Amino acid sequence: MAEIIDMVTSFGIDRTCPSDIDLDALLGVVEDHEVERAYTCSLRAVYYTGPQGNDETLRACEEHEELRPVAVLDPRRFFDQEDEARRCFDRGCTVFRFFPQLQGWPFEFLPFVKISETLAGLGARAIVHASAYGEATRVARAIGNLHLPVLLVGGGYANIGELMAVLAAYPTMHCDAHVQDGPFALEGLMQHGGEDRVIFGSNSPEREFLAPLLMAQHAEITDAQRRAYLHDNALAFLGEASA
Amino acid sequence: MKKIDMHGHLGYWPFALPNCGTVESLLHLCERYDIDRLVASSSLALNYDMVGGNAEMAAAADEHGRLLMYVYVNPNFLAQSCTEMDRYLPEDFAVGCKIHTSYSATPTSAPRMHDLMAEIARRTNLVKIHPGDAADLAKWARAYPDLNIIVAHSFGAGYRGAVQLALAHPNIYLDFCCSHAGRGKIRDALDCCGPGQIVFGSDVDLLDPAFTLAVFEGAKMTEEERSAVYYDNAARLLGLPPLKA
Repeated sequence: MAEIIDMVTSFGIDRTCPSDIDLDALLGVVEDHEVERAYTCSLRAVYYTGPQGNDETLRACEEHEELRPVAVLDPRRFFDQEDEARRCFDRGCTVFRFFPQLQGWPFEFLPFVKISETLAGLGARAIVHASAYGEATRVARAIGNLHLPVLLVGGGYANIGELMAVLAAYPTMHCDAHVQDGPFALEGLMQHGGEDRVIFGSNSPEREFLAPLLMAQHAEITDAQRRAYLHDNALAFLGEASA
Repeated sequence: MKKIDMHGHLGYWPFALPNCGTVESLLHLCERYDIDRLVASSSLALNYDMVGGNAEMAAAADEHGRLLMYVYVNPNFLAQSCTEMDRYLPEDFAVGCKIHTSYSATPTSAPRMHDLMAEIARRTNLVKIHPGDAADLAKWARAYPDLNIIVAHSFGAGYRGAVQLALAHPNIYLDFCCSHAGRGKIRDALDCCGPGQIVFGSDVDLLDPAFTLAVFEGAKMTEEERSAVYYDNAARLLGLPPLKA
């Protein structure tokens, strides 16, 4: 199996039920599956306050070299989020994540667009959750024409067709496949969305890492495409190498 | 390891699923994942035409020994559902019934669903239901102790409720296929209610069996647990010999 870069992980506390999703759980998954790098964020930044949570993320990543920071920005606050983006960027964080469903704001939200413009100016990358019908389309229409590579995460079998269309229409858009459980999903996304635009994410440790990995192992794609999905496409997304 | 898959469908879905929906695609995926028997219902029957869909499913199961049939029944058409059961359940390839509360727009609490369940219990000892209210499922499990009830998807992220049901009722079986690949859920279920009431179901070919298989494999099961959940529990429900017989 190829080396793996996991672009979609998080750690912290699930306020809705007892769960084993803390930093140790994430580190266990990363070690078990020999993940080269896991891009991660603290859930404190999602549910409580960005700066505290982002500091927690940055500390964890300083202590564990296999973890790379993803800062969470909350457009509902807006007034200080451009500063928060610059603060995290200056500390080495180049990937920023948005949680519109969990935080309850719409994709057309002007604060989201303005913060995304700031990220584009910094040369950063964005991760946006888009799982329901129309959400990937709305993200693309809102920020797809910026010079900002965007990773859409959480799409499943129901909106895979929408993802194919969005990826084909917007060169800045990418997607993960950790919820893509339909047969031939990877094959379809690579064929119709672009084989360089599908990037591995697991949503560990909340979700089972093996689920997207086994799908990749069994997918009827070439070894080069598998390596791209698991590793090289992430490097290209990050601007570190071409896929 | 050979598997019996207790949750499949023959037919098309309104999603971008290239190369899916046919007998050939089902058999291809069965071959890929070492699925020895697949019990399936018709997606045509679920989505639109119960009679036409059951006929397609029966023809496929009659022709291919690897495929077994759930007769799809619809509480909105009780008499027709009884006719469907009487038509197909005597056949060796038809092993039970399938109910879908969402597609039939009928909650498990509805009187017509209770009427249908009574008719099912008169005719077969196996029904798979998607999804259901836990209290209604418990009521049916008590009322029809000879009827084995497979809880399709085991309530997804709320699987602990399904595990409690299985703990309380020996004729409740759990199938865990779903898009919520919660880490640790299978281990948790095995530790809570043991392996005896868990079956492998994949939702093929709406879903790729690899996805649910990965959730099971993540549980680091013992060989005994693997035999039980991948094969022997289903074999017992279907009247087939166990894996090592």
